[in-house]
Amino acid sequence: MFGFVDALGLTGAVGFLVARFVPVARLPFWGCAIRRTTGWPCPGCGLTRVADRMSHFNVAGAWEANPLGTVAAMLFMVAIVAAVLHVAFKVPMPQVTLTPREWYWVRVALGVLVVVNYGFVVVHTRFPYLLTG
Amino acid sequence: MQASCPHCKNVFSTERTGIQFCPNCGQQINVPDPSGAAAPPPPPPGGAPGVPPSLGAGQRGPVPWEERGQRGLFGAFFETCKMLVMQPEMFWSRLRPDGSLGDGLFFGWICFAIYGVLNIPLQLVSSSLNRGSVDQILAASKDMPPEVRRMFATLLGGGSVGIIVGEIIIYPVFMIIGAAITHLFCMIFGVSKNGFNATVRVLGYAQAPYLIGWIPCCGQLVAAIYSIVLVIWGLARVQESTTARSVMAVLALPVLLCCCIFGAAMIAGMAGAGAANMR
Repeated sequence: MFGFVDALGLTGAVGFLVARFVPVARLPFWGCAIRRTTGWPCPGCGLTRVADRMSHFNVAGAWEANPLGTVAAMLFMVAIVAAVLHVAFKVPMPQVTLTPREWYWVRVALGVLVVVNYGFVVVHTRFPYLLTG
Repeated sequence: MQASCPHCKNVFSTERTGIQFCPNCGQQINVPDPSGAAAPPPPPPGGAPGVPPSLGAGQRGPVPWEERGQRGLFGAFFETCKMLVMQPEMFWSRLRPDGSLGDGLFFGWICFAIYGVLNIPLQLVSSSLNRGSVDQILAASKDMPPEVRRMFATLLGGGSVGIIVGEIIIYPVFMIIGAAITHLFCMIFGVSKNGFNATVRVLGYAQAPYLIGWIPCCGQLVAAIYSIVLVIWGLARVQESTTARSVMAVLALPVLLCCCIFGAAMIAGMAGAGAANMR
């Protein structure tokens, strides 16, 4: 009875609970080594802040830290709700089947999103004046 | 045709045979061909370009661990470990992707429990050795509540027997989380043909190398590397994909986050070494 969406829901729930109650970002060695040494962020920069802010329902703050991470966090929240409905109330999960061609375009879109998101993170970190005008 | 789900017993109509999902419970099931014939044609010699030759779900048999009713718990466990270490190709080619999720999870849990128990003495020694460094690192952290500081000191210092037992108890939850994240990347890289169950089963059985993880110095490193190799190998065979795609699915997240995780570990290690040198 336990499926992939349930597992994603469990992952999201544990992640948000840790982000809500354990201040990992305050640890002195926590953080991105690339950013610390070069000043340039990595594609994953801001994800700890996203988890922390989303667990406090601060969507705007999370978006500022990492937009794609915020979307992923929202999808995890949807997965939590879906998993609860499925496990507790036996609500059937919708089955989405993609053709190989559709999968190809999903992968292309994901790649583009990752690049665009990294561009935003770089501009936000290194050239914030470009965003404020 | 009408098909029945072995998990929820729901009867539904479908237009095709083979592996698919139950529309009621969402579990992956294998709908047999009612004619009993029309077996899929054998793959060409060497398989399709880039795809390793593997058996279909119907042609695979139970691995020793899934015959523990006949072989006995210890015999089945030993045989499975032996097969995973000595004949991984045969093991993965035989493992059914549509088998029980619990079998793989249970096997992985036992491996981790044995590793955890055998590792207790080493953990306690390293905990006492690292105590000073951990205290120094935590002292450098500003505005941290005292109770959180105590929690981190216990966790980072290697912990106590209670924490290790807690890790063993909670291990299946973390394995499911790991499987969910791995399967997400499997979907992105096209290594998810046989569904989430297959990924969980591969991850569970790939924990076998951790039986030597308690050996001081090299044990954990060897176990971790061989476990990753087994996951890649297993996903390629059980999900019926290519090794290259499997490598990308397994290593994408670590590579994406390596600068954060390895960087943090490196800085922590350097801080620890620096603290040790100062003393």
